[in-house]
Amino acid sequence: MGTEMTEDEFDILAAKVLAGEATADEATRLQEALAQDAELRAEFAELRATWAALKDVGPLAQALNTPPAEPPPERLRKWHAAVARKRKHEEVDFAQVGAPVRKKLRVSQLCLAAAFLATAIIAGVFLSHRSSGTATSAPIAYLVARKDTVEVRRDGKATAVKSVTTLCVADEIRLSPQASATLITPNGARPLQGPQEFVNVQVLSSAAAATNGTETKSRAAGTALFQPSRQLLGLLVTMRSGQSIPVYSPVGFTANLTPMILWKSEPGKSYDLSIMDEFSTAAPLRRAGVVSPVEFTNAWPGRTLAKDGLYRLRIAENGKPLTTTELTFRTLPQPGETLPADPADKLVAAYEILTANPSRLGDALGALVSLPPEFADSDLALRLKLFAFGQLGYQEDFESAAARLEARR
Amino acid sequence: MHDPTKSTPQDFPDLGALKAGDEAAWQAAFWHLWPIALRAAQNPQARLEDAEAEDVASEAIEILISKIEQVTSFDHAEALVSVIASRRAISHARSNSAAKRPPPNNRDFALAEIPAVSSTNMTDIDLCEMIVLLRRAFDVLDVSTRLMLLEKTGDGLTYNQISKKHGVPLGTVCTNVARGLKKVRAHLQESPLLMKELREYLR
Repeated sequence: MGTEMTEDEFDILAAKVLAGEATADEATRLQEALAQDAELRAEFAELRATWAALKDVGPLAQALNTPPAEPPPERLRKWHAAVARKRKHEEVDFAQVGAPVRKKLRVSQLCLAAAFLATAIIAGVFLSHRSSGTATSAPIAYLVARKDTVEVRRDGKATAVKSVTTLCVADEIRLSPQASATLITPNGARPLQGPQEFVNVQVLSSAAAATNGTETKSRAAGTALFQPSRQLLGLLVTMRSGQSIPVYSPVGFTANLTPMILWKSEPGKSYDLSIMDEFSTAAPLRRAGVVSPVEFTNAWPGRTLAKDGLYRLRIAENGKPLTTTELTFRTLPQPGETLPADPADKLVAAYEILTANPSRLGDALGALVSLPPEFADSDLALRLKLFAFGQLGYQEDFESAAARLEARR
Repeated sequence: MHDPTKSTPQDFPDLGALKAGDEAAWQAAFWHLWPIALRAAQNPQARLEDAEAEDVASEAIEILISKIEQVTSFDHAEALVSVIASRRAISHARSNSAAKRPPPNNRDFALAEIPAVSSTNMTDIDLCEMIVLLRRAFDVLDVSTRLMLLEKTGDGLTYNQISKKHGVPLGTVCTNVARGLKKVRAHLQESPLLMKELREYLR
């Protein structure tokens, strides 16, 4: 605390300035004190951040303390019906799991039970990381081929992997002497280097857990990659307004100080952009009449965002301010490297970004939406998109990715 | 099955029972969730009519029912229903605004009153965790400080209005608010649940 200002005086002035209720003299007095005292500046910055957080979510936190109350009977009936429908739907889903097995095997009820038991044992042995015992189509790992010849042997037949493939429990992997690939398992990502003769994916997955694999830090992202596809619909946790313009990048945190600005732009429409530094009174960066994507370095040559910054991005349809999206995003204190150009590297980078902490949804989506078709339509890319779109509440994009994933089954 | 006409459920329902679709557990949950969802739907920025807010709150609970597998605790369920209700209320308000008003002739008409999205774009999971943490932080504040802090940051009252309402000097209101902010931040920092995203956000 500075010697020229008492704690009481600081508290009063800070509270007034934060609320925008300070007189010009009071604001000047606080500004002068802050200019002379770094500790005071840090304290004020913390108060300001807490103030912003409270304004955003304080009322919702307070709402949680509302005492229990009886809902209207007609609402209760409706919700109970929804619970019953959901329970019934899950029972039907479970029953349907057996149908294709029964048709394919053409065996007796006893054999059917044995088939289920075998499935359960396999799930228990190989899929022990998951809680659901009904999984029949959950991936065990993904293989991203990066260089030279990478092969997967399934049912005795070897196939070259050109881009990325989803692996089953009995699959075996081979790499030629110069080949390299990345294996993504529930334990994390592991680089593979040739030469390597055919080895079962389970062995390699176990090695990923024990050696130098990149640990999967996000349980939610892991769920998105390794749950049966029918359980992925739950990844859409909430929905945003259908009127706003979905922004893909930057959102949340970004490690890029010249991020690509990427949003869902509609054919024939143009948009006005502005990026405002929340910590500065400088004029916002603006571009009018543009379409997605906008390369930051082209739009504002020679300019970069500040490290550890907080920015407000506004995108409005040109001439239609009702169709507007406004969000804030942060730049990291230690910016990362720009995204790689190679699609295999880009896909692995998207995985690592989404499983890192903090998860950089915008940076990952920037990578995922710029993949060529052979990578973009892979299970891995589609599931990563489902996770990201679900987190952002972009229902239309989520459903589109889910439909494409379903079409691959 | 719990009879809501005879008693008010005080205990939080068991999450496992909710996920299993247990009717009695849901009955108790609805008593807890309904007032939370309703209060969140009555977001002052959205300014919905009472009936609209009830519809939005009811929709939020239906969405929560469909997403219950994703919920990790009943605290989380409460936070999630408040987030859903609040966002849907604003979405509803935007639809109302678009339907009622003529197309604008200039940018002054931009929806300054109603934010397009929450000014934080944390993921819903992080946002729910932050709400739960803030709720616990409020518990460490004395009642008058908590009230003043929420009247200022949530209800948007001026310091003068709060001063008159509580019958205390304006300076006392300001120091209470500032010290309340410091205590909330200190509590959030000490919480073992605090995630890196939150620390970044509060810096």
